[in-house]
Amino acid sequence: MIPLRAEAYKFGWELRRYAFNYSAGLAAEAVFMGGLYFSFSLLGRPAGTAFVGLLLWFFARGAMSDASNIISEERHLGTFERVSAAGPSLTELMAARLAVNFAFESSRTLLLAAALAAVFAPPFAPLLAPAALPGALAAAALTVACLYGWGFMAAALQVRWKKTGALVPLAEYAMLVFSGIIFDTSLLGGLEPLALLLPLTWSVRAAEAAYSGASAGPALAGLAAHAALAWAAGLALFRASVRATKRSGEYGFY
Amino acid sequence: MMPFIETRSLTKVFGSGPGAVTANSGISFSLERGGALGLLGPNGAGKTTLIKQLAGLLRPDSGRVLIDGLDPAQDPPGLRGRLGLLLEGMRNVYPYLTGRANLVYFGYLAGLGRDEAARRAAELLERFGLSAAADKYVMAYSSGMNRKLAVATCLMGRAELIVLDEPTAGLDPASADDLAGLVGELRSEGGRTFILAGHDMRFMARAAGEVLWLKEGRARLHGRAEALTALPAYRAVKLSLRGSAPLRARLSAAGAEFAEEEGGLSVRLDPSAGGALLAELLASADLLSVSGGGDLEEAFREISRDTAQG
Repeated sequence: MIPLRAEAYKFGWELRRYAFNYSAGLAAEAVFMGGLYFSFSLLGRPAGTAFVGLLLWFFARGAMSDASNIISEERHLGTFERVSAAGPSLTELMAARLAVNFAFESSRTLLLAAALAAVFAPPFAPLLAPAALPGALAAAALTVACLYGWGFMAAALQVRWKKTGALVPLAEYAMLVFSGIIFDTSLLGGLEPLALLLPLTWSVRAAEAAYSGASAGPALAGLAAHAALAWAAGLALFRASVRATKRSGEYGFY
Repeated sequence: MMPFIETRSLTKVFGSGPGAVTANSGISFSLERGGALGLLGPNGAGKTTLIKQLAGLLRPDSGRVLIDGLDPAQDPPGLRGRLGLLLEGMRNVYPYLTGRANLVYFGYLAGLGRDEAARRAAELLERFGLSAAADKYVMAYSSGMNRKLAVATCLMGRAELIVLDEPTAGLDPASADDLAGLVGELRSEGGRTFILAGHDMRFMARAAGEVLWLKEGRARLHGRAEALTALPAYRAVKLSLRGSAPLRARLSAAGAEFAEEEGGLSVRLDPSAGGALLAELLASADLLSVSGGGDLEEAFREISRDTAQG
């Protein structure tokens, strides 16, 4: 059973205690993202693609790093072993925490989108057109699945290798730079195949397709493949890491 | 009938080569449902290693644990929610939640509904004398309050096996006595099974039905907990035993004095007999009762010395 009630309850307490920190953090992000969006427009990036890409990247950072943060925070507090034996399996516990995290990160992303839209009024109409909307929604759902799959992989590595959390920002910033948000991936030359390994590349391509009226099919296929691979690898890696640390005696080590 | 808990030749070695540390070696015991086993022994004896193996948090190199026929190392769904675990130190509850919120959270994890979790949390806060601090953040709790709350979280659900590592650490003597009483209540009323680890001999003598003495990863003594009260003077301890012929022969060979008594034998151990014979007698099915008394802390030191020699 996925312990959603327990994790939502616990997160409610965290939210209450850290409401000011979260609010101030979001305001700072809005300033930073607004600056990036304005710079991209000066560089001549299509406004819609840049806007959607930046919001996806903002969401991606939370989705990817929070999964590994869950492990490291529990270990830091010393509660990892205790909570692992409290009833639900660790995989169920992680699933519940990621579901709560999804609700939180989605809310933050929507608030940020509303604030930036109020200032910059980026074009949304093409995304909401009847021909583009199903593809855009499917791309959003698959992007979320991909990012949490990556997050789960990061958490799996964090269980076994405690320095993983320090490397997650590397993946996050690679996504900003190499996914086609700032500049077209064709400008990467020989490095372009590397861009295809990043899920946001396919998300940005889906957005571009929606804005240009082209088919989002190839981008959606790329995202679906990414999501399936990320979750399959994440779950397998997670189980293997848990087994290995329970064998080495480092399961609860920070 | 199959015992509720059974360990078979549990062995765990950390590392390899000259630096390898044997955390436990060949540990075997069984415990019936509703029993309470106290794990005793000096620091580094392997108590926490054994507890983690019982909780499925550490896989043994060889041997196995079975709880109600299931191996916790395999994380079987059939065991989930049936274990209440308290680990040593201040690492069982969330400091940024209140005491009540911690209890409700662990209640939800154990599958309780909202009303039941709230009711059970209030009961336990009252039972552990924490009602006045229920809505304070745990980071403001003293270590004793933290420990009480952590023990309470283990009792939120319907766990059948409750494993408490150093449950009395930081508790005042009255609270430790109260906890021993609660363990007794939960065993007799709820049929819950307990594994208790620590160094608090007085608590163990009251709360545990039997004790397993560990030293350097090995089980050195396994016997009834009531024997702990006799240990301080155990070189002259008086034991009452069923008078079987092999036992008489064993006592004679060890130079122990014994006399016929109604229903068995009365044995007064010779000082030269030492801990090895005592360990054997305490584990014997022929043991009827033990009498003696004195300083339990001294007993801990004495038996640590003798089991090291044995």
